[in-house]
Amino acid sequence: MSVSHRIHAIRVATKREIRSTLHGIGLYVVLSLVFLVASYVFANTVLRNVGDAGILALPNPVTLPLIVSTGLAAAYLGLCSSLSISRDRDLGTMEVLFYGPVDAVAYVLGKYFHQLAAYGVVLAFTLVNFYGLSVVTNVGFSLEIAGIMLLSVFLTSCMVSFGIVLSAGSRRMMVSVILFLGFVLFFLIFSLVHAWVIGAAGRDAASTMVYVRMIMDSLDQVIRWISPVEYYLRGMDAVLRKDTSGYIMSAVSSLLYSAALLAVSVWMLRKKGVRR
Amino acid sequence: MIETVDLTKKFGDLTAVSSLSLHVEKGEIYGFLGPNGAGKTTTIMMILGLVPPTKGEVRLFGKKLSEDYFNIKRRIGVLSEVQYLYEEMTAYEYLRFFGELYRVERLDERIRAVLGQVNLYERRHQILKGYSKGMKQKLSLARALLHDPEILILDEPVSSLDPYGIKEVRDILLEENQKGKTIFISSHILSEIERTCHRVGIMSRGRLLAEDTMADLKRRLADEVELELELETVTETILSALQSLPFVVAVEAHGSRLRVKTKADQDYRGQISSTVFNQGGVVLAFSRREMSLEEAFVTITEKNLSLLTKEDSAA
Repeated sequence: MSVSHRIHAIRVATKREIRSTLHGIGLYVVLSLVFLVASYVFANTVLRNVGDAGILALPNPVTLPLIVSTGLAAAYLGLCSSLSISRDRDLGTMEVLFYGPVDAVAYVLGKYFHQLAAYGVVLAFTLVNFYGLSVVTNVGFSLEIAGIMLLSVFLTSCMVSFGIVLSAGSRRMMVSVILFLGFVLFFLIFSLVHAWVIGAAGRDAASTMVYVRMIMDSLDQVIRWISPVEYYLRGMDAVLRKDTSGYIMSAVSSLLYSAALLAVSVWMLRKKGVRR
Repeated sequence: MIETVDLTKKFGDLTAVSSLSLHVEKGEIYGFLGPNGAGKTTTIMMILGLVPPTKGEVRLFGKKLSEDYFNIKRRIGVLSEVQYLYEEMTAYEYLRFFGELYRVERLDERIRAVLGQVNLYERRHQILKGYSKGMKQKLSLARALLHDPEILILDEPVSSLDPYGIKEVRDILLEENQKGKTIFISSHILSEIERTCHRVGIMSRGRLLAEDTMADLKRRLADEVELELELETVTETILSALQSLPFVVAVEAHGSRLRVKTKADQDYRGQISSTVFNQGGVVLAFSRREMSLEEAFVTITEKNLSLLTKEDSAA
């Protein structure tokens, strides 16, 4: 009985939020940005290759612009998620919702599905954009593109859940946004530094770099389970290797990651309360 | 309809609510009074399940909230002290959203009815950002009434309203009560509580100091009763006869008017009028001055505060 009430609350809350998103300017700014970035990356890789060499030497010319644009959109929605709960708490609107037939589970899932629905709009736009690009340039719309697009839904799910858990744990909007940006930056910088350390330690196996590498490898083992981007990268790797079971594993682990973070968000919300 | 048993809430060392047991009957308007920091809002939040109690329990419609969370919540309407609205919405959109959430049937009809009740129907398409504080409060009341709840829980429902708005809200509450709604009001505006409520509970420092009907509360609190008489003529013999009565505490004369203070242990009006009559006086008017709720509130909180302070220092 409570399941149907919960589903109803999720549906109504998601509907309100998505309507508000569609009436706002943020999503359209991001869609424009996605279009511009994708076009720039495409021009800078495919067209430059063709211009310089006279032939197209890339096996999957649309892959990189697609990864960049979906990644950008997922990061934006993750950022929005990191604002969502803390803003409601800050404004007091969360308290009013909880006067009525809404509980922590329905509330958190409403926030989650809202962002996924917003990503649906992004995905539809991306699909049209890349399909058009494939047709116009005659590079072909491959199954790989569809695979990456589907994978980006799981990336968005991870990003959004990550944003929601930070938001549920913060009382102020500013804190949750800083936390989100801080974590994402840390993951990116760590991954760059880690790659550099692997290279450096490979060149000089006797130096202290080996120990640094060992430490960073250990840290990487932890971060690969915490960072939402890691799940996407694993899936991407599977796409490029045409590894179907790896792809499925990536999708399932993304969903498990999201479910775990959403459960933590519900727990945090109950613990912190809904009042300002 | 609303029952709390031994409800206690502690925030660290601070006891915000201490062993609160209260019972609000169906169809009753219950006034919940207390100075700032008395624990009223914490109590309301515990009743609504938004703050978990440290000890004790809350029952609504005879059930714990956890037993039937969604159905119980759908039967309650809540108005908070501060109005938190989705300011980018219009009043119509705002009520439509909550109406869908509460699964209100014939929603458009209900929206029209409640906006009409609070006189905001003409402004239904205005963005809420442009609403005044009073309008926001009335819209929140409309939201609380939208799903026709059986219990209304109102925290300071008239705090932002002008006298006309206060009367409007009072009339709405009395009308809703006539329809059978149980109303629980927490307010600082004692005159409003006095005009609206059947029973009041007075809290201070997290404790329920008194709970009774308005009339019984005042009667219990009064040590003395003040009677006002208008006589055809006030004579010295009448004055001295009244002063000699054992239950009379004081007599004051102002022209043809007499103010007589008696003990409050019983009703002495009959004996007063017969004494005046026996001394040849003619009573033109006779009234008993009632203690206001404000006086009762001050008496109770002051008496109990000194008691609590003594307890605290003894501890």
